[in-house]
Amino acid sequence: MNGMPSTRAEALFLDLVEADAAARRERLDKECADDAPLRAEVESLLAHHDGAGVRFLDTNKIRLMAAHGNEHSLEPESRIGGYRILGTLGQGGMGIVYRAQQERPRRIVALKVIRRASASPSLLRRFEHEAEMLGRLQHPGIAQIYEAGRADTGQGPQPFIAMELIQGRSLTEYGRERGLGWRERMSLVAQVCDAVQHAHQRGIIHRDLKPSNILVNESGQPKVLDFGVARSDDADALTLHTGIGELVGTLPYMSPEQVGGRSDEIDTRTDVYSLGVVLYELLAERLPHDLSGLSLPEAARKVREDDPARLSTTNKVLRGDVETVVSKALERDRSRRYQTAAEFGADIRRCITGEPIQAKADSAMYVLRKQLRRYRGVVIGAGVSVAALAVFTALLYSKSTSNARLAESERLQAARANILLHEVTEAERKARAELTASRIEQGRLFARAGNLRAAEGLIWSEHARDPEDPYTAWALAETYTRNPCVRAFRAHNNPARAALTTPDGRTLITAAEDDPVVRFWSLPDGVSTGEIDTGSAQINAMALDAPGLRLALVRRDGAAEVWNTQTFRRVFTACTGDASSESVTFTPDGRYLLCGTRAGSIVMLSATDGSRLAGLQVGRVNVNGLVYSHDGSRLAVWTPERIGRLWNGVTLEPVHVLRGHNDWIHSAAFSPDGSVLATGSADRSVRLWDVDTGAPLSRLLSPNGTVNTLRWLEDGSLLSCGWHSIDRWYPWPVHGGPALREAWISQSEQTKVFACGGRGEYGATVRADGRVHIWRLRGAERITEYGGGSERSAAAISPSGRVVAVSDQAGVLRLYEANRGELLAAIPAHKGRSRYVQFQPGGRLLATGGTDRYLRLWDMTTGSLVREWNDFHNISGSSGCFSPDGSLIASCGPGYRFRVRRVDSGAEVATTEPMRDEAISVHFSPDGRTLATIRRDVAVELRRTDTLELVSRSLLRAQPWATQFSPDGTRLFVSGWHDDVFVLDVPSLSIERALVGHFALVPSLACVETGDPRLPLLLASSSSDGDVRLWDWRSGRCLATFQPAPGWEAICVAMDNAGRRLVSAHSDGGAVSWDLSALKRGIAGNVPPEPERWLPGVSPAEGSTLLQWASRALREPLIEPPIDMYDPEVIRSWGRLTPGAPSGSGPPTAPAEIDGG
Amino acid sequence: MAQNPTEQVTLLLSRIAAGEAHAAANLLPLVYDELRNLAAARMAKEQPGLTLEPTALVHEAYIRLIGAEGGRADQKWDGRAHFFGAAAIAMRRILVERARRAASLKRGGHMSRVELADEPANATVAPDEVDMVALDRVMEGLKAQDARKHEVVMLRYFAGLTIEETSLALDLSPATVKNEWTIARAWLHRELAREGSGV
Repeated sequence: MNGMPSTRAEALFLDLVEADAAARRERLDKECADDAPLRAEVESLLAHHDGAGVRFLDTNKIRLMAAHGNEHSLEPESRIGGYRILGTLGQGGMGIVYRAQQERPRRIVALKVIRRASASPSLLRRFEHEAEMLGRLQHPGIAQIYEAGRADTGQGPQPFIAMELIQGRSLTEYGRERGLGWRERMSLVAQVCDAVQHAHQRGIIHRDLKPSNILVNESGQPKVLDFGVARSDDADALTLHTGIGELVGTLPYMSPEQVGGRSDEIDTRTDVYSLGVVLYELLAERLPHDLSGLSLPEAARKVREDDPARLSTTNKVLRGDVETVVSKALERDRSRRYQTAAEFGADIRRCITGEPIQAKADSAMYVLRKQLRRYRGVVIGAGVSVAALAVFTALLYSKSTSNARLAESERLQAARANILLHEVTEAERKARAELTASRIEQGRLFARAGNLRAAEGLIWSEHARDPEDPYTAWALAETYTRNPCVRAFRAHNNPARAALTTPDGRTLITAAEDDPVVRFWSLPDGVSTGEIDTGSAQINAMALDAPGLRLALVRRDGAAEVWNTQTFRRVFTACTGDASSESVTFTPDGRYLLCGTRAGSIVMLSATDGSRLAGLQVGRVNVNGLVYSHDGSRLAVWTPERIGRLWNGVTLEPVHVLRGHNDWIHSAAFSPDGSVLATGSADRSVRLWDVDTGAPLSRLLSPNGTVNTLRWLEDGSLLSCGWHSIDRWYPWPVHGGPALREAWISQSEQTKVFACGGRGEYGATVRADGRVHIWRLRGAERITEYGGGSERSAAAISPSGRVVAVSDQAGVLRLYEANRGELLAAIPAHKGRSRYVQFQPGGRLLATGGTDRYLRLWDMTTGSLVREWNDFHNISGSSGCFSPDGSLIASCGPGYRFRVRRVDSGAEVATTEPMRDEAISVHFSPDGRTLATIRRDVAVELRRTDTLELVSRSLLRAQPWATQFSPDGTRLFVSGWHDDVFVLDVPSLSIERALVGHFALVPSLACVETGDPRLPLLLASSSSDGDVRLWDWRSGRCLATFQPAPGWEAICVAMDNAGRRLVSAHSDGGAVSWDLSALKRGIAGNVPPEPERWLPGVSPAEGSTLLQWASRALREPLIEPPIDMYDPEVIRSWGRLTPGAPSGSGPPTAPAEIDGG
Repeated sequence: MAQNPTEQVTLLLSRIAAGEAHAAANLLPLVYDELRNLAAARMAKEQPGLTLEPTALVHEAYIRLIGAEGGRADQKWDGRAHFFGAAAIAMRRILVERARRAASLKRGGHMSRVELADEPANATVAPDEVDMVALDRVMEGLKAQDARKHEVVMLRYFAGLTIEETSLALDLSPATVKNEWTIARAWLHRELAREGSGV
C-alpha cells in the first residue's frame, strides 16, 4: 500500500489534470526541476487518471470482475462437453478455436470456445440462440454449425460452438494456385452467391465477406465461414474485439454504408457489395480501391466517395459484360446494386455462358444519368463554363426547332420514363417480396431456436402486411406446433406479480404490480371470466382454499383480503398488523389463513372473519413463501435465505432446517403423498427432501435459471418452471440416481410466474411484461397418435381422411379412426415387413405389399382378402401404385421388372422384360397414361402405362426413391438419396428446381391441391432426418417443418384428398396425424404481440386486420371431406382388434370375387 | 419489532438528527436488509448475474424506506446523509460478498484452469470491471490514510450520489468534493493496478 500523495503533489495533480500533454510537461519541468520524487508521483497519478477511463468507478453500473486476466487455452486431450481437444487452430476476438474430436457422431470439428469474461448470461443466451439459428442454415456452401451449447467445466458454464472443419485454401489463394481461368473464377463466386442467398433468405447477413472467410475445399466447393456468429450490430451484444490490424484487412471489402458507420443501412446488399469486391479481386488480382498507405479516415473516404478502377484496365478480356456485372455489384448507392445475391449470381452465370446479362439495360440508363449529374456538378461548380454554354445553346436550339420534332422527343422521353418507372416498381416489388420471405424465415429460425417472442414479432408483423399470405400462416402454424402454446394474450399492463389456477384446472387467476384488479381467465382458451377490483393497494401474493371457492390476497400495506371466487365479492378485509405481507396460504382445512410478512413474522387469521389469532416471529427477513402439505401435517416456510424450514403444520413448531441450496429458495411444493418436499432455488436447482427426516434425497439441475414455481402432478412427475423453461421431471429412484428431465418448453423471455392446471394438461406462464402464454403440457390437441405395434414401416390415409392404415415390421396392418386415433381393426397382412400400403382411389380396396413377396388387396367393407399376387418386390413405400381411377395397379417385381394389372380381373396389362437393376418405385400420372418408374440406376423414367415402353429418362446425382406428379401432370417431384426434392418438367424430365432443406434420405412424398390460388399445391416430404416438410414447389420454399418424433426417421407421409390431415409414420413405432386445418385455425387463438413491439413499418392500426383475419379463420367452416367407402364404423364391426399370427403363403380368408374398382 | 422497517428508519433518522449517536448503529442493518433484498431481486431478474446498479438500488431503497416525500428539497439533509452513509456501507458489503462468492465458486471447480499463479504479470484493471475484493482492501487503506477521501468515494461510488449531493451530505464545497474524488480515483486506480501485479 502506498501512502497518499503530498499536499503539493495533490495540488499539482489537480492543476494539471485537465491540461494537455505539452502543458503538463512544461509545468512539471518548471515545478519539479529539483524534486524528482514529486514529479514521479504527479506523473504516476496523472497516468492513472488518464488510464482509468470514464467507466472506472462508474457510479451507475458496477460490474464485478468475472475472472482475473486472460482466459487460458485448453490443453490437448482435455475435454469440453462431448469433445476432446486435439490442438489449437487459431484465436479470434470471441475466443479460441480448437481442432477437436466429437464423440457422437465421431468426427473432427472446429470448436470455438467463447471467452466468458466479457459476456453476461443474458448475452450468452442470445448468442446461443443465434448460434442455434445459424445451425439451421444448411447449404453445401456454408460451413455447418453442428452444435452450440455450454459445457459445465466446474468454473461455471463454458459456452462453445462446434462447426464443420474445413480443410482448404482461401478463395484467392485457390484461384492463384490452380491457375484458374476467369470463367472458373466467376463460377466459384456464383456458388458463393448461392450460399449467401440461402442465408439472406433466412434473414442472416454475413457482414464480413472476404476471401479469408471463404475457403475452397479439395473438391472445389467454396464454403463461407463465420456466418454471423460472434457478430451482432447492436451495441449491447457481444462486441467483436477487432484490432486495428484486423480492420485494415477488412476495410477493402466493406461497403460504403459499412465504412460510413451507417449500421441501420446494412442489409443483404451490403453482402452483395463485398461479394463484388471478392469477384473483382479474384479476376483482377488486385483490389478495386488501392488503400495501401492511406490512413483509416482517408481509406474510408475513398471507399465512400470514389468509383473503383475499371476492371478492364487490368485485363482487357474483362471488358464488357463482366465489367458491367462487377460494377453493378460495386455500386456505391446500394439501390443501384444487385438487390439480391441470387441476381448477382445469375448474372455471373450469364456472363460465363455468354447469355445477355440483366445488368446491361438499366446500367446504360444509369451511366447516362450519372453523366448528366456530373455535368450538372460542373455547371454549378464552375459557374459559367464552356460546357454550360454548350448546354444552354443546345437548349435554345431545340426550342427553336419545329414543334413536330419536340413532340417526338417528348414522346420518347415519356416512353423512357415509363420503362424506368416499371423497372423501379418491379425492383421494389421484388425487394419487398425478398424482405418478407427473409423475415418469415428468420422468424421461423427464431421459433426453432426457442425465441418465441422474436419469432412472433417477425411473423405476425408480416402477417399484418398481408393476411392472405400462405407463408405466414404456415410459419405461424409451425411456430405454435413447435412451441406448444395454445393461447397468448396480455393479461395486465404491468409486470406480473402472482398467478395461480383453481383446483379443477379450469381457471387462471392473475395479479400484477401496481394493479388493483385481479383477473380470472378460463383455461386453456384464455377468455376473461371475471375480475375483482381490490381498490388501490398492491397485491403481493394470492392463495386459494382447497375447493377453490375462496381467494386470499395479501397486500403491500399489510392487509389481507378474502374473496368469493364464484360471486367475485369480498368476504372480509383484515389487518395482519406489522408490515407488508409477502406470502399467504390457507390451512388445508380452510379454517385459518397464514400470512408471511416482510417483518419476518407469520400472522394467523381466522379465514371466516379475518380476526387475528396469533403471530409468530420467524426471523428478521421477509417470509417469502408458505406451503402446506395436503394433510396439513407439515408446513414449508422460506425466506430470502439458502435454507428452507419445515414446520409442524399444527403446532407451527420447527421440525427441520433444510440446508443445501447455494442461493435463495424461491419455491417449494409437497409431493401428492406428502413424503417428499421439492424446493426450487436461484442456484438453478431443484432439491428433494425427505419430509420425515429432513434429509436431502436428490438434486435436479435446471439449466435455465431460477426455479420460481414447482408443481407436482398426479402421476408423480414434477413440473418446474424457471426463468426460461418449463421442465418436467419424471419419477426417480428416491435415493440417488438421476431423474429424467423431459420436453422442456424453452423461452427466451423471462417468466415471472407460472401456474399449472389441476391435472397438468395446461400450464400458464406470465411474463414480466404481463403477457400470458398458455402451454399444452402433455398430449396434443391437434395431433393424433396411432399407438401399438412394432416399428412402423408404412402409413396411408383414406381419401376422405377418416381412416388411417399403418403397417409395421411384423407385417401387421392396423386400421385407425383418423381423428381420435382409435384402433378399429388389426390384420396380420404379411409375414415380414410391409412397406407398401395404399387406399384405392374411388374404391373400397386397400393394397398392401410386403417383403414376403405378396401384393394383396383387401376389401375395406368386409376386411377380407380379395386378391393376391406372389411376385412383389417391396423395397420402398412406392413399390406399388393404384391408377388414379383405381382400375389398375402397377408394381415392382422380383427379377427386376415392372408390371401393370387390372384390379378387377387381375389380368396383366403390361410387363417389362427383366432388367439389370432392381425396380424400386412406380407412380401413375394424373391421367393414368404414364408411369414414373425408378430403378437402382440413379435415373428416373417415364413409361407408357399400356406398354411400359420407355418414353424419357433423366439421370440424377444420387439414387431417387419416390415420385409424385403434380395434379396437372406437368411436373414430377422426385425424392431420394439426394436429400433435395427435385422438380422435373414433364415430359422432358429436365430439373427445374431443387427444394433444399432435408439432409438425409427422403423416402416419401405426398401432394394435394388446396384451392388457394396463392398456394394451389401443397407438397409434403418425409425424411430420415426426422422432419416432415411442407413445400411450395413454385418458389422452392419450405412452408413448415414438423418433427412428429424428434430423432426418429420419418419413413412415410400421406395426405387425404382435402389436404386436411397429414399422416406420418416413424421408425420408433409411432404414427401420427396432423390436422392441418386445425393448425392453421389454431393460430387465430394466439393474439399477436403488442403492436408497439412490431417492426418499423407496421402501424398499430394494421393490427386490426389481424383480428379480422383471426375472427374469419375461426368462422371458416371445415372443408367438407369427400365421402368414400372407407367407413370407420364398418371396419370396427369386423371385430378384429388382435391380430393372429401373420399369414403364411395362404390368405387368411378365401379370395372373394370383386366387381370392378 | 413494533413498527415496519419504513417507520423504524424514519424514527432512527430523526433520532440521529436529534443527536442520539447509537441510533446510527441501528440504521445499518435495516438499510442492509432492504438493499440486499432489492439487489437479490435484481440479480434474479438478470439470472445470477454480475452487474449491479448501486445508484438505482440505493435510491429505490431510499424511496421504499423513507418514501418519495423524504426526497423533497425542503426536507433536512442531515437524515438523508446518514441514510446514504449507511447505504454506502451496506452496498459495499453486498458487492464484496457477491464477488467473494463468485470467486470461490470459480476456484472450487475441478476443471478450473484459472490458477492464480498463472496470471500474467501485467494484469491491469479493465475499464468497466472492478475486482471488488481488491477494491475493498484498497479502500481500507484509503480510510486509514485519508478519511475524507474515503467518505467521498463511499458516497459517490457505493451510494451513487452526485458531486452536489455528496457535498451536501459531507458539508463540503462541491469543488472540494470534485477534487477529492479526482485524486482518490487516480490513487485507487494506481493501487488496484499494483494489487493486480502482485506488488
